Amino acid sequence: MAFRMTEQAYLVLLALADGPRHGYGVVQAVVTLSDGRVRLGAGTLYGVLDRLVEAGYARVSGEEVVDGRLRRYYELTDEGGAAAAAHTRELAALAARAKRALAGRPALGGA
Amino acid sequence: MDRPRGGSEPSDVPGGDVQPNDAPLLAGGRATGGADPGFERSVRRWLRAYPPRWRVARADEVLGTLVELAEPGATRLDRRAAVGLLVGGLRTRARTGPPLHQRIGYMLGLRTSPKYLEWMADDLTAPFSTASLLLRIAQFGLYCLPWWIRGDSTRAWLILAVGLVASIGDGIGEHDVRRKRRLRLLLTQPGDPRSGPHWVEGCGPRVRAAGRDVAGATATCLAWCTVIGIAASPRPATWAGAIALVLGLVGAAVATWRWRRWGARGPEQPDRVVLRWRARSAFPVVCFGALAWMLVTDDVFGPFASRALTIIGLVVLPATVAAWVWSLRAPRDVAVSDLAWVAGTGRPPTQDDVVLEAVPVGAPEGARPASLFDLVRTDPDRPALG
Repeated sequence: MAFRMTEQAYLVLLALADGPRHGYGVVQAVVTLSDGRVRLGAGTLYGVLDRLVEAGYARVSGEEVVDGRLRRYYELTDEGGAAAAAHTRELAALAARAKRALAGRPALGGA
Repeated sequence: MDRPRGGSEPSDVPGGDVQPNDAPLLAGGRATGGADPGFERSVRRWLRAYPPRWRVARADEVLGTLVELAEPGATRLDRRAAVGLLVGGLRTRARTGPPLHQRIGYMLGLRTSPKYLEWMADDLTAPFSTASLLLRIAQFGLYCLPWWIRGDSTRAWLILAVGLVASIGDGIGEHDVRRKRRLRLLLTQPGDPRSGPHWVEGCGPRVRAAGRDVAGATATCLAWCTVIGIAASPRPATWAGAIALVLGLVGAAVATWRWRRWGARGPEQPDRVVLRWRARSAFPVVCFGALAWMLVTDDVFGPFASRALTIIGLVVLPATVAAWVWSLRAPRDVAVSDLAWVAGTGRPPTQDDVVLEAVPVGAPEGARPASLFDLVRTDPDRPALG
């Protein structure tokens, strides 16, 4: 089944782009990346991580126990990096088209 | 028998009323520290929305993340996170389970694609579910609905009675039925992938129902049905009733004498695990009580049902009550089969042998579905027999 790139999946991919992170680290990175707009709950986070791992876009890179709690780290695969880059290009192209579409409306797109 | 062994030795299985999923899911209970016990319990409760195989692999990781996300001092999961786990768990079940046509085939006894072997294993090793029993009985309720609508309540009651007895019979024999299904569906077959965890034929412990719990439930059922039968009989005091009562009392006296002589001494039972029935005992009591009441108040069945309930109750109830009273003083892991064997033959029970069982191999440490034998409990304070 083709991978459905939701906004949450995209943000998690971006969160893993600069190195392996564990669950809490991913949640924090997503908050930063989305400027505080998206705060993933554990149910959503692990659903997204499962789908990314099944699609081959992410993998477990290791685990450690900190303060008696298990942390499992995830990292981006080459396919995941390529998928994130492709989606970023699509979004950039969409943004460019949106900008052009709005250019004719001075009140909204005049900038 | 040179076969791999499945499950735990009885001494590995904790007793009491602890639910299977309250125990740490990974071997050794690693990485579950640091959390408030109430918070951890709350998380593990909500994690039951996920498939068992998923929980075995991921529960500690999710718990760790939720502890880090929680407010300091939180003693339970907040509502948003709980709903998130519930939705996430149901989605994971839907995503990782077989498609509908394979599910229907599986319900009819067919094997799913090997891709869903773990899904089948989860289902076939899950603890007994009262919900599944209720579902089966509801099914019979649906069957008799058309007769009720037509006003033929006699036939409707008959169907419901057959369904109830069959469903409870299924529940009682469920362990063996499910063990045979495990052997038929989970063992590696030609065409299955050769890599990863798989199941082979091995041996496992014999599962027996706890005598104390079953005798208690049966005595309560019978007492309830007998009282209803006597109350509804047009002539409660008859010769047949008196003879039945005498037979019942004699049977109870003989059985009690045999149990006392036996004294719960017998062979060690290393290949046996005893299933506690405490929580589920109430269910047949309520069902049979309701059914008895409905039968005796039926226009057609009523007189016959009340007489039959009275006679059966008077014959069987004394011995059942005696079994319950005696088993309350006996070790908790005396099985109902021991009680029946000793009462019937007067000889001490024999040692149970292992039974054929599907055994998982090749799974990483701690990743075996833990529920297979977790539902089976023995009394940790059990005095040594023999």
